[in-house]
Amino acid sequence: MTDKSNQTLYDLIRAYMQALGTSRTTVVALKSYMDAVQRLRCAPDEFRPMLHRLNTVIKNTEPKVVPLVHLIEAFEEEMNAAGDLPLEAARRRAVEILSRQQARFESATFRVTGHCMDAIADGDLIIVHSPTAYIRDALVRTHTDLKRTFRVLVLKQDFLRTKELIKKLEQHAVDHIVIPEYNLSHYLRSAGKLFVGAVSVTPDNQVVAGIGTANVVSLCHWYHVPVYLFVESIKFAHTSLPEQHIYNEMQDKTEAGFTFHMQTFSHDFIDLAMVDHLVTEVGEIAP
Amino acid sequence: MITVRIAKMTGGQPLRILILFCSVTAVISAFLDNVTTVLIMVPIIVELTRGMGLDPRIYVVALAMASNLGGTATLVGDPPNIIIGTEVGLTFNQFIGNLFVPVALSTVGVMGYFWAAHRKGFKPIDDDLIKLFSVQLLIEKIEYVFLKTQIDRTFLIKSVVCLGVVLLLFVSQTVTHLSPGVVALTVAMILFIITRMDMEQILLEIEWSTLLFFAGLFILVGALEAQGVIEWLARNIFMRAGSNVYVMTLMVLWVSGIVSGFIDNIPFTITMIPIVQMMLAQNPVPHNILWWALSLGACLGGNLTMVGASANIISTGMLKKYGYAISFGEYTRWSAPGALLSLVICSLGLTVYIWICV
Repeated sequence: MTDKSNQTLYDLIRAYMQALGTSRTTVVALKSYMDAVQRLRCAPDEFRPMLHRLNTVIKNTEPKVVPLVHLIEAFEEEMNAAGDLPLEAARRRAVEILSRQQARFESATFRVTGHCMDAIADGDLIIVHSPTAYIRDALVRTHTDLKRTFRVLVLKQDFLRTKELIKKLEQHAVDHIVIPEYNLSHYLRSAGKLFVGAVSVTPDNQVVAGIGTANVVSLCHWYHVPVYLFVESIKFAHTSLPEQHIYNEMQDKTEAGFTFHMQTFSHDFIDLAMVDHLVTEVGEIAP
Repeated sequence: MITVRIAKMTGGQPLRILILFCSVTAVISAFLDNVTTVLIMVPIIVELTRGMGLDPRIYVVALAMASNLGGTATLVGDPPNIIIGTEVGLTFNQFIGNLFVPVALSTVGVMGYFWAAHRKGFKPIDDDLIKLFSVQLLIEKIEYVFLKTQIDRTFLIKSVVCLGVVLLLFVSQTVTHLSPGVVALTVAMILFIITRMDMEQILLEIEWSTLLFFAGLFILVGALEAQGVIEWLARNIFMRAGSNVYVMTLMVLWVSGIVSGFIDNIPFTITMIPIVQMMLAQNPVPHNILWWALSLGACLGGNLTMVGASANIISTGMLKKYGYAISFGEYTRWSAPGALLSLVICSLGLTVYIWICV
């Protein structure tokens, strides 16, 4: 596939991540991979090279979808261990491995949701920014299943994600207020917690997260509002921040008839030192 | 919802995208306004094709052509047909009975032309794992983006039932003797009452400028007729065809087709009606053949160039919004051969019809 075609796929994955978050993108990508393998028509000796090419493309997305990369690496190891198989057997094996990876990831996400629910207490005012699916699910389930009384402060930032969150909260009658991100200072003295998700956590102690998260985390950190980072351990990257391929581009923006050049980045990064509680599927761990 | 299902059914296969989207567009266009149809279909086909790394422009041009083709098949599908039907007294069933076959064959012909002219871009993707992987991601994204609209189910059911009643009354026109305009207005009023919509808002949304435009055009053509201009055009251009039915029919078809590619087919149709009436007064042609020739030419000729039909202009405008520019020359290079092919198919169809029936 040409570089231009790869760029189209990277744009698609990035748009998906921005709309639905890294976890959902990972699950959908695995399902897409299984579907693609089942539909593929090729000669037996072309199958493995095609898998290898797709895996290379997935590992080099901009930004890196770290959980997906790890699952694909595990998939590659298992496929290599399976040795030379006839085409149909290799196809079945590939689908079986991917299906297991998906189940493994979904199990981790489910457990993180549980720990997120444990972190919500009666009377809390919880700030939520760029929430992942499991933070959304945790807020709803804590209200509907555990019947705890709390309030959610929704920071309106990325429209698609904010819309999803507001719809869920309204649907389940969870008490919430929506404010623009830049009005957060008015609630910092009364807020109890900040819940954030992440794309990845790097070995140089940086957290790659949704745009705007860095500003919100910095402000909460300064005002001593505890910052909770909920993340599956599979999102812990093996490579440092520069190798996470945060996408950036120079755009021509026109507003009110005035055109200017603007550089934009697809994601923020936050120093892990500003996170007070790092919660994975095994519970809270030292940041 | 329908367009998302079609997107899923294509499975990302380029040829299936062309065939399914064009077919559905043609069918919808037969009953809904062409512009409305392309407004519904273009966003999703652009999303689908650009996500697959395909050139959305080819698909959008094919879609616009399909909407013009589909609109030709029924009385209500395209303004020229509404004008002809109302002025001449042709029924819904007569339109669909006489035009469905040539339109269907033309639609197949145009899709075949697009496939042949851009064969490389329509290769199946079953042998490309990366493209297959992209397809499912893309379809999920399309579902997410396009299915989030909340629908008022009660309103939808009432609207669909009313639409069904309208179509039934159109089809039974020969029994009820109710003109299409009366049917449409009456059911619209009933729908308005049962849905309790805001009268002021509805009145604001009626295209008064379009209605006045039509009224003005009829007055203008009436004035031209009274001054003898129409008779001059009829005698010096069309009646020179003589009394040969084949020549008369093909002349009406091709002149309408070519002229409609460059000027708006509505004023052209209104101008041609008295001309065709004069031709028929001098040399009667049975089975309304000349009217079918005018309908096919005026509607299908709109596919010739970018400015030939409103659906074409709207589609190219929408493409530009998505960042895909298409010039007049490029559009015509892609559309003109298909439009000419459809006129050839209709010529053959009318020739056979004349040979059998006259």
